[in-house]
Amino acid sequence: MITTTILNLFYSVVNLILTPVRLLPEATLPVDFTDAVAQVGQYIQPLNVVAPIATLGAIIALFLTIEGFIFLWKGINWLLRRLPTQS
Amino acid sequence: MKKIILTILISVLLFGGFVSQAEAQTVYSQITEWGHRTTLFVSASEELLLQDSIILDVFYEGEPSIVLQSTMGGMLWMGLGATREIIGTGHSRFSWDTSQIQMMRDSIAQVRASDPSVFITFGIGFTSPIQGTRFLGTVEYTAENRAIWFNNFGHLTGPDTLVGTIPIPTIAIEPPPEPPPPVLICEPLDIVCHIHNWFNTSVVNTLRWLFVPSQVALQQFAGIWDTVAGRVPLGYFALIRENLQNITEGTGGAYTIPSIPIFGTIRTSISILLWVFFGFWLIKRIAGMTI
Repeated sequence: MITTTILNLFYSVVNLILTPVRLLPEATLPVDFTDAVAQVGQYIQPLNVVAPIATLGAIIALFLTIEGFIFLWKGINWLLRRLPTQS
Repeated sequence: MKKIILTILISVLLFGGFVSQAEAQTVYSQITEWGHRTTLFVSASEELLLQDSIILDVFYEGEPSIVLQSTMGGMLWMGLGATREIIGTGHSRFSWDTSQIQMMRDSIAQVRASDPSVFITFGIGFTSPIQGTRFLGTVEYTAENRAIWFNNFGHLTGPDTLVGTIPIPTIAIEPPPEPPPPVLICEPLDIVCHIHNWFNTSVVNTLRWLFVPSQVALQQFAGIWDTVAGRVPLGYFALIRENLQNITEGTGGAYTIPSIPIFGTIRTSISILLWVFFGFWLIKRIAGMTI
């Protein structure tokens, strides 16, 4: 009962937090976007014979992730510096 | 003092027995309500060669009404079974026609599998009660390699009341309740035996009731992520990722480059160079970063 109650409480809290997210609409990409990606893919795919497309994609993804993380880090620090007691 | 101890002892004894009975009832009601799922399984008598796409409709209409509650973190899913390698994209649509709630969701799944016994599924998670007498589920699957062999399809998991003309096996997903501790038949003056029975029926059951979580409480977390994963804005990331994967993993192209043996060496060299350049960039980026 104790464990079940704790789990139910935790589930309720998570549910409550996620309620606004549930009200959001389902994500769907525009057809033009998917068509464009598919078309780009058709032109890039043959190059895979000589150029490592998968490696390139992985490196670009890593690059964007790292840069995004650094940007977020700087943004948080900038916000913290706006606090009155912080220099 | 003795009176207080005696009162506490009797309370524990009675409380333990009472709790044990109440818990048994609760578990039983959970099992009757949630403990089964119905599997609708359609098997073809021979292998079906799919040239382009397949659409599977599962339809239910009538009484009694179907009720799915939310506390289990329910997942309703349909799937296609294949006996050969499959590459393709699938959609699933589920709708409940009811005066209270109407819901429909499309999900897209690309499957690339070499496991001959692969079973691709398309599911929908729900967190609020669904009730209705009309249910329509559709799975549409389009092959990229234009050759899919299905030897069975039409796997629908739902509540007990979803009964069709096809034989429906019932699978228990709730583990059976633990058997009650053995109760020994005691001689009237066998104190040790009586204590043993008391310990088993009261203390053990009380501790179990207090600390062992119910399966329903555990399973309700199963579908919680699915409810938000497809929503804006998180859903965009997943969709974009799926689309971008098509570029690197897709088959076929607008033109073809003749394969020459040296291309393999060039490709590997470029790949190594790219990783080395990336490593240098990463070291430089982290070293020059100001916090």
